[in-house]
Amino acid sequence: MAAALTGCYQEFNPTTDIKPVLCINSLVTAGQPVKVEVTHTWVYNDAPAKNNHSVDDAEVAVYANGVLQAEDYVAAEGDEIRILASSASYGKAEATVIVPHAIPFAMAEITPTVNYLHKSDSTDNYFSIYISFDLNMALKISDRPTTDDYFRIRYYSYISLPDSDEIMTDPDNPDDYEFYWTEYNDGIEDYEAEPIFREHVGVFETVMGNDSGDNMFFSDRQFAGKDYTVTLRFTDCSYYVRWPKDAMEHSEFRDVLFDCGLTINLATMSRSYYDELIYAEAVDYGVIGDLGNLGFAEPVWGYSNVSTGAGVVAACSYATYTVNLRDFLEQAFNKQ
Amino acid sequence: MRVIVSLILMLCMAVGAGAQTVTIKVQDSPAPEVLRCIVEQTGSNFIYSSEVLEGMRVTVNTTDAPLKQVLRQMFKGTGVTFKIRGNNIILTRRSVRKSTPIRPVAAHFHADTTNMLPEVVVTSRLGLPQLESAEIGALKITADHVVNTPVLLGESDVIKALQMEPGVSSGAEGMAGMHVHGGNADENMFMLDNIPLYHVNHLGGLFSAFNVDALSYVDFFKSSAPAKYDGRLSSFLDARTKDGPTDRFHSSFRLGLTSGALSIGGPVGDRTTYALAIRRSWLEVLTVPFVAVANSASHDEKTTFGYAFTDLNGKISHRFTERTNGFVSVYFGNDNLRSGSADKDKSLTGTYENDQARLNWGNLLVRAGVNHRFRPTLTAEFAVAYTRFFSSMKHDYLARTTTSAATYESHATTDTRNTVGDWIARADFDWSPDGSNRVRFGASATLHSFLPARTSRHYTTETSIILTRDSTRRYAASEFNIYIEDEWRIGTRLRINAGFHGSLFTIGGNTHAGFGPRFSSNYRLHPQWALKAAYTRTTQYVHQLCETYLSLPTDQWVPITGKFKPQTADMVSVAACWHSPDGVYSASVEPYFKSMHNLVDYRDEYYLRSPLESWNARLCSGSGTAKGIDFKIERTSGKLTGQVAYSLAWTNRKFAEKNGGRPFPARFDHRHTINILLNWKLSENVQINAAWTGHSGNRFTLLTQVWDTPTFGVVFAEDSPLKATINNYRLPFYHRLDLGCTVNNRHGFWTFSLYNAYCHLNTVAIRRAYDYAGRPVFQKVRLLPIIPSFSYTWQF
Repeated sequence: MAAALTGCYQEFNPTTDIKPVLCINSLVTAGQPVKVEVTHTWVYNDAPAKNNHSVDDAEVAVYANGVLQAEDYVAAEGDEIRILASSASYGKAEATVIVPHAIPFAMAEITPTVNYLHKSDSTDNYFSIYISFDLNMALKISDRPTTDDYFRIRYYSYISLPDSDEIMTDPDNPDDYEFYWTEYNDGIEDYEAEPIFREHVGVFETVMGNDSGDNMFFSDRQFAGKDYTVTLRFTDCSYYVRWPKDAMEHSEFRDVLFDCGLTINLATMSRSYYDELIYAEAVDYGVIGDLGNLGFAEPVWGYSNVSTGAGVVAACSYATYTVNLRDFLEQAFNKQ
Repeated sequence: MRVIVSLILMLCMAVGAGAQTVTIKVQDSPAPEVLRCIVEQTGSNFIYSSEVLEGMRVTVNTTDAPLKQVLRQMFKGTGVTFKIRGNNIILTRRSVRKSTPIRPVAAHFHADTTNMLPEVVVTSRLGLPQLESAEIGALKITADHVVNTPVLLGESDVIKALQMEPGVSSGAEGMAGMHVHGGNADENMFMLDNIPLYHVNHLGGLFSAFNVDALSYVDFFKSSAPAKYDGRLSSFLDARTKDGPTDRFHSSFRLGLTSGALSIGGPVGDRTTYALAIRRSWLEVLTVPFVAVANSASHDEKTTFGYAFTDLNGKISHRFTERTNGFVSVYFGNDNLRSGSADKDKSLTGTYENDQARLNWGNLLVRAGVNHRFRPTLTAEFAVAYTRFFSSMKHDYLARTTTSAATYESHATTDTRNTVGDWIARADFDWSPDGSNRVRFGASATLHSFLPARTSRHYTTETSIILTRDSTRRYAASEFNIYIEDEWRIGTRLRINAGFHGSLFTIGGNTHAGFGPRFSSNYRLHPQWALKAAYTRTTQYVHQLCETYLSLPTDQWVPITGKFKPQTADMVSVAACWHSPDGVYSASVEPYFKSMHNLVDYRDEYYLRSPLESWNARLCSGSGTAKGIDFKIERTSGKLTGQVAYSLAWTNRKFAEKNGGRPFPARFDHRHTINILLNWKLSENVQINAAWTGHSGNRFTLLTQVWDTPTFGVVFAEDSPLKATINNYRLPFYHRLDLGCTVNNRHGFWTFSLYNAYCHLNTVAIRRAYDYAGRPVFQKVRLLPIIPSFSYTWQF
């Protein structure tokens, strides 16, 4: 406490013998062409190098299962991908990763709950709906017994109605300007609702660290070869539409009025992908990262599986599920 | 009654003590120092209660005078009488005399020895000048010495006092860490009355657990170690607690900036004494107003925070017979930290969160036993003890969302317990069969119980209930130790101390054996010069896992299991010692070389391992070396006393799974260390202390290069640091001056101290940051400016 209150910082320029090396970053995704970024390392306080650290003379080779592939090679589940990069200026670098198989999942339960609903009445000169709700979901994952699996959940919202930019004005009457809006807000993810998102956080970090990074990744350590149901909870979700008063008279509008939801991706990750996420949390939120920066613990360097120690070559495969909220919203609207 | 702390007889000379002649010229010198001069010249043993000479200063001027005459002159008018029994001289006090101690530690107890064993200690082997002792790097420091070393926040601290010794490095800035001859912090054996203490720090190492009010003296070995000690690689520190006073009730109360302490003690009848010392921090009193203000300013959240540490030392001694004393002692140290926040609004609808953490850690040590003197040449101590380190961390998080339709609640509790408990039975004998040999031998049995960080996680949500317990299990181990050593005086010039320490450590059906030969020798080239050589091999079966350089409750003590073998160290040291003829000045030079094997440390990127995995998965095994030279010059009597110590050292480590298998310098590889300690007694009531320390900067892993962080991660930083050679950079030279002053008055004494008196903020790390313009820059992290403190001790 005293140290924190009384310390100070002084700028400093270390003089050390520094030799830049090649850096490879690549996320190999099953079903997509392999993309590789090759750069070089630079001294942290070298601002010009920070802005330009490309490698002009780099040569990159991608091998899949030991066979050299063309530039547009599309990775497949189970591939062993080996990436080699070389440069006359910065030497060589290489890394290998295996593309994991996707693990399908089922939506065991979807429970939306309306918190608040408002819709325009006949006296209003426009048509509007506002529905606030919470959304609970339960994803059932059936883990493979033969492999160590690592998962990451990501989600993206979608809405079928065009957004406000496309209907800003009435083309038939430009002077009669009115602002229209459609929005689906996927709310606030309650990460604490699913404890397995914290399984990589030790008690030291739990008690003494900062808030977690709110990342939804985990392993199958606690349910290896078994089923596990992941809880996803979103609070304060909302659906909002403000359209011309006669919008409901048009079938094109009515057909897609409540068509929105979430696309949920369950990525099965390589170990290198998982380790990169662990490192990221340790640095950004872990107490070890803070103490290392203050000299009370060993500094934490960037995780890398590249031979030069710079860069991460990771892989993943996706299983996808779409949560459509149309029926729920429609029923809520009609009940009102 | 003053209980025997230890009874250590010095080697007997072939001739009677009374026939010796002594030449000594001292004026107003501490009586113990004068005795040491006499011991040097005569080889006699002095046996007395430490209180008999407490604070006494004497003047003696003799030339080739008989010993009796010297003693008469020395103790004339002091109330101290002496009896010469062969080579032993027993000192007692006829009546209680009020002494005028300089900066007493607590109550001052005066022994009425008329009804006591002619006990008590004395001028122990370790208290002898280095010229006499065969050991190298041995040190005996008193509580007075500890309190005369100015320290941070005025909290007198044994470990910080030892940091002034050559070959002893401090850890993190301001902390009570200790790295001896290049060893790790967990390679030091800390003992309270010969029983191990596993966790000796409060508040992350800002204070040590040794309450100086409860201590009598401390034995410290950093090079050669007596055969009695084993179990750690680098050093052995045995803090001896005070016995209760025999004459009347005494007490003292001290109040400082960070803690308060109460000491009481006295006799119960003619045969029993008690002593009790309690110290408690009151930091939470300082934080209460801040927390209250923060809570009143916040409409949404209520914050809780509090920290406190407590030390309790108690001791009861009883004299059963003229030859047998019994004792029971207890130490309890505890740290408690709680913090959290909770929403103030508990209304039926909306979101409510309550996040609380509580950490509790400390030591419990209970010891009971008897001292028995079988005959004048054979004494023994039998003791049983239980020592336990415990650490508990609990995190409780409740999140509740209530809507008109439903209530959703998730409740997560994480509870980690980390304990190590030892049941110990030991017997130690001290036998002087003749005038030339002194044999110490003994045995001990220990039942260990380790629970390294067992974590229970309990999660409850609407859809899931998870109850997991980390794979860590409780480990039971047994350990047996035997030792024997003979301190043999050959003629008048050569002294040899040879012996061994054997041990067996059984865990999980595997038994490890340790054999630790010990040898040290002293050859007197000249009355003022001695040459020494020593070899020590030690074995360590338990080690501490520390993720930081602080001393935290998360540090776990774990046994050697699985693929890991017991850690061992072989140390060779030599020394040349000199004392001035009047005993005022002394100097020593001690080169050493230490080879360490099977060291255990965290492997690179250990944090990537899941906390659910076994703790062994995060570790790796390796080796290390340390070499260097320790220099020390002391002035031990007069108004101005002190010491100048210098160390030249190299320390390296090599682990297959660290730094790519290449050797690297240790974190606290201080090439040069200079420590200067001065105590200036201005008058009977005022004493000034100064301590200057300077050493090569700590080693530091400076990550100079960075690379593009991959975009698929979640790192906010745009770049990631590139791995570099471990401890590749040496921080700037560290230096600091601490000042202290003690002013006695009628009822007690004031202490004032200035930590870092010339306010030189030392660099503890280099960090990567951004300047005000957003440019990436390296910055030195500099800590701890001048910090004044004071305390007052009442004695009543």
